[in-house]
Amino acid sequence: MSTKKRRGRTKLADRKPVWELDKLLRRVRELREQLAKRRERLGKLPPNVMVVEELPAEEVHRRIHEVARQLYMQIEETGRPVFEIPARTSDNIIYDEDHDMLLLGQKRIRRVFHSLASVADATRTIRILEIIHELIEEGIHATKREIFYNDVKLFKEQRFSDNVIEDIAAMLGTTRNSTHVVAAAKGAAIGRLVIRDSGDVIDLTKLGSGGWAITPFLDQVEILESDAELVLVVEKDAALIRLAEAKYWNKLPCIIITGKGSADIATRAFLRKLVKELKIPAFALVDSDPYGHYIFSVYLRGSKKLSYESPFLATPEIKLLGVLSKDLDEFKIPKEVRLPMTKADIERTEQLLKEPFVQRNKKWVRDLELMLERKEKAEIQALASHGFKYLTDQYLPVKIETGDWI
Amino acid sequence: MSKEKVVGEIKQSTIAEFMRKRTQLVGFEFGFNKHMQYVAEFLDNALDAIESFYWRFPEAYSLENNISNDILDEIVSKTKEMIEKNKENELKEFRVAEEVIEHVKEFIDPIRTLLDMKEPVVVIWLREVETPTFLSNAHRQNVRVYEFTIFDNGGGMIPQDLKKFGIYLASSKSEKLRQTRGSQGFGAPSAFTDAQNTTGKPITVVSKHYSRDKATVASFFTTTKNTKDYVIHPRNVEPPFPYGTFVKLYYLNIMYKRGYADVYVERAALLNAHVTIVFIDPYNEIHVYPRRVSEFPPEPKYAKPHPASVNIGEFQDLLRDTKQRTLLSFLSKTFSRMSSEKAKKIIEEANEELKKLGLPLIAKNTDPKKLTKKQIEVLFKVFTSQKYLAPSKDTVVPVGAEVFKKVVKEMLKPEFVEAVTRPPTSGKGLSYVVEACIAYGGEIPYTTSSSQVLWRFVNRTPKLRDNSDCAIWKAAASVNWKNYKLDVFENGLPRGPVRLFVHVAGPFVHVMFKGQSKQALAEDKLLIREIKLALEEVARKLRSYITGKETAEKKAKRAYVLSKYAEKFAKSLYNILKTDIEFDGSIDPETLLRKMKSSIEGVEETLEKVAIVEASGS
Repeated sequence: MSTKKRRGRTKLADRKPVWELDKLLRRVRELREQLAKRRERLGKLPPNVMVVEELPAEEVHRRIHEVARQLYMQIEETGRPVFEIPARTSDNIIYDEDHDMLLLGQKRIRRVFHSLASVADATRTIRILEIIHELIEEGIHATKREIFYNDVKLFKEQRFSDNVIEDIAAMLGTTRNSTHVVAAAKGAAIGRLVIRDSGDVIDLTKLGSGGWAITPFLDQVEILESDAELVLVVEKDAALIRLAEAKYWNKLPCIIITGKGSADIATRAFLRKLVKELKIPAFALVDSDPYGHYIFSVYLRGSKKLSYESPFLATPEIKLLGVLSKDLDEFKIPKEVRLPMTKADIERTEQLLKEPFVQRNKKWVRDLELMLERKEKAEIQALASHGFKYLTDQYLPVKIETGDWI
Repeated sequence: MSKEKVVGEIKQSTIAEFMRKRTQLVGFEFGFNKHMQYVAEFLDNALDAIESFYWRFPEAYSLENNISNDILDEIVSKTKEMIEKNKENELKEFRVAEEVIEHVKEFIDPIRTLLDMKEPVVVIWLREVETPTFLSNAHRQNVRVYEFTIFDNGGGMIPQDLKKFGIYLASSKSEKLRQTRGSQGFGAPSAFTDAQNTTGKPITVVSKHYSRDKATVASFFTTTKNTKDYVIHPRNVEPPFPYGTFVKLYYLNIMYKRGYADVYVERAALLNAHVTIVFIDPYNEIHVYPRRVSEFPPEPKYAKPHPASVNIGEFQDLLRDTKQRTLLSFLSKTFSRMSSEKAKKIIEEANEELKKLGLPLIAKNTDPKKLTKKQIEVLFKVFTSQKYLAPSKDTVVPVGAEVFKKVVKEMLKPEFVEAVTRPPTSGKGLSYVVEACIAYGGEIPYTTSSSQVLWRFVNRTPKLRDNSDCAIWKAAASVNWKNYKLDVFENGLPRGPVRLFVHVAGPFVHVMFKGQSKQALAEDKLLIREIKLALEEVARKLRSYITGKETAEKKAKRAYVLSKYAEKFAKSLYNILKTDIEFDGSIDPETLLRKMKSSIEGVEETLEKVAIVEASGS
């Protein structure tokens, strides 16, 4: 729902915040309904596709043995093992946005051992299969870099082992995460959520002011209970501490997470998990600048190079709450705290405007165009120009109440 | 003007007087080549002596025995002893025959065994000796005195011939056309002249003819009057060897350098592998080239000149010198491919011409010596305008591809060798045969200079000088070697671990040379084409070999790489499968590896080894 521009309407800056939950969360609950309805529109899956999904360790382990047995049979019969790896070219990956599923088509790459061109990769493949098998049997995780160091002589460069890790995930029909290969995590989460993390039950409302460090071992995280009605994804730690200090989840039933400046894989995956399981809307709170919009886009649909993993880490339902370019005027942010856009900023904005997923969203386009017009940007901390509690006491409640998001 | 008798100013000099001052005409001038020239001259003479002896008396030599490594070691060690004994490097001045004989006995002692085995052998020793004081000026200019000693067990010379040895133009080689090494009687006399001109020391010779009981010893100078001046008069003594010739002389030259005389000997040994050659160089290095074939080359037949090869001057000479009494017999007996019918025809046609010109006619029985100049001219014109069959080919004696290959293989130890002998050819009435051989890889080193690549031979004699002038060189440079998988130098010769050998043989080669030095063959289209074809033929075979090797190498490399990875692969797969309940530990990593390896081409040998190990139950 969008704000209607009425002549002579009150600026959001002057609107009084409402704290009654029914009123405050009315728009949020409407959005939630909408999203739920969309998920129900289940169509049929296209034929001959393989669904890629998170899998429990036992299943991954079983599939690894299936692959190994096949190779053994090949060697028994002909002495020539061959890997059949699903191709991840754009014509073979289908990200089904409706079902929120990653689908792989029939195209396969044959990686034969008995050829000088592919013998190295074939050997890397079995080696990493062996390593992943070991990780799963031992119940441990490793990062891509650690796997590389496991056999530097064979892998030679990390990009080679990284590619093979992805190959194996595709071959097993699952996410990289399910293979226990993880990326380092930077993010933090706090709020109305109780989880079990590697066996420990953690209440994210009782973690002081720093919150819970998001673990890279997402398969070890189980969501136990939550009464949050939305997730707030903040770009920077600065916003998190403001909200944490205010114990904001007591005012607004929410979970707050941050990637602390970037949108790293673990944070994205965690957000996606939250949204999928709790079925609540997510809202991004970023700086009013092209980089902030970019961070939002990453949470929304993954990084630009549509790598195999990216759709898995996307949260297509996330909305951009702020700080929008129009908010700068709407909330009477003084000129002194607005910064001029640099050449790089302008280029980035223009890039964003070229993206089809941006163009589909008219409101977003308008806001970016406004940004270009004004050539102004502002950090979220700029809200402090109206006082330290402006963010928590005026900005957020008013935005949420009026449903002012993109 | 006074009417005194004017003595003419043109004196008729003798050849000897002429040549004494011009030894450089036959290669005897200061320079690195002079060392080679001495070696070449006397080695050629020695080889000729041995061969003509054999062709007369095949029992002279026995070629069935093997020259074992022990014998070779004996030669080397005894030679070392001899060198050691003569360490003081004194210039030997023989005063009496007994001294000479003592020295000769010592000289041939290392090869006694070979002489006893009746092996044909030549020994050459070239060494620097003390410069006598009267020559010390030269010493300061880097010029040294060299002692040249050679012995061969050829047929030897009878005393009368020994008297003529060293006289200009006294040669055992007749003027008849035969495939010979090509000396015409300038070599030995010029060598002697140079030797005594530069050092003032006499030449010492000992020779024993196979038919005589005694050997003859002499030490002499040759004179401008083409006679000899004796220091030791010829004396018949008890022979220190059964037959053969020994020569020792001294000459002045700039310091010896490797790359000339030693190369000459090496190459001569290649194409004269029916003789054992020992060469001791001024560095006291002993080069032994043992006999490698068990047959002498066949004796080349004499060739009558072919009409197409005769020029007017030669025609006149032949007429002047002929022993034939009639014109008809002169024509039909002097030239090859000339029948009496043809001779008759020539005389008739000549007469037609003479009639037209109003000149006296010639008859079949006219005395050849009585022809007038004009008659000779007309006769010659008709003679050369006839069509003749190509000259016969049996005057040409090639080395033979198999022998070529065998010797090159044993001497240079290449990994690949191929040779071809083209069918004899004739152009302009001169018949000759071209042979080519190519050797590659193995112990043949890469060359830094193109002159080491091509070994040229004419009538079994290596040609080292005037390289790029020679038709052989030009032919070799014109081959597109890149086509045969070889790199090239800028001048067109191939570059790499490769050697080319080209041998041109025939009875007429002495007219095929470019200049007086007889080191380069004149450019002739047909000759160049023949050489090129021969080289291309062997080059094609080399190309097949290299391609095969490349394929084999690729295969081997692939097998190696795949094998190495297979070890890792099998290990990783095994590590997964060993926990698999379905297999329950029944998988053996070695079997996995073996199966993977068995389908790698070229790893069969590994497989065999494994099978043996398995079979032995270990």
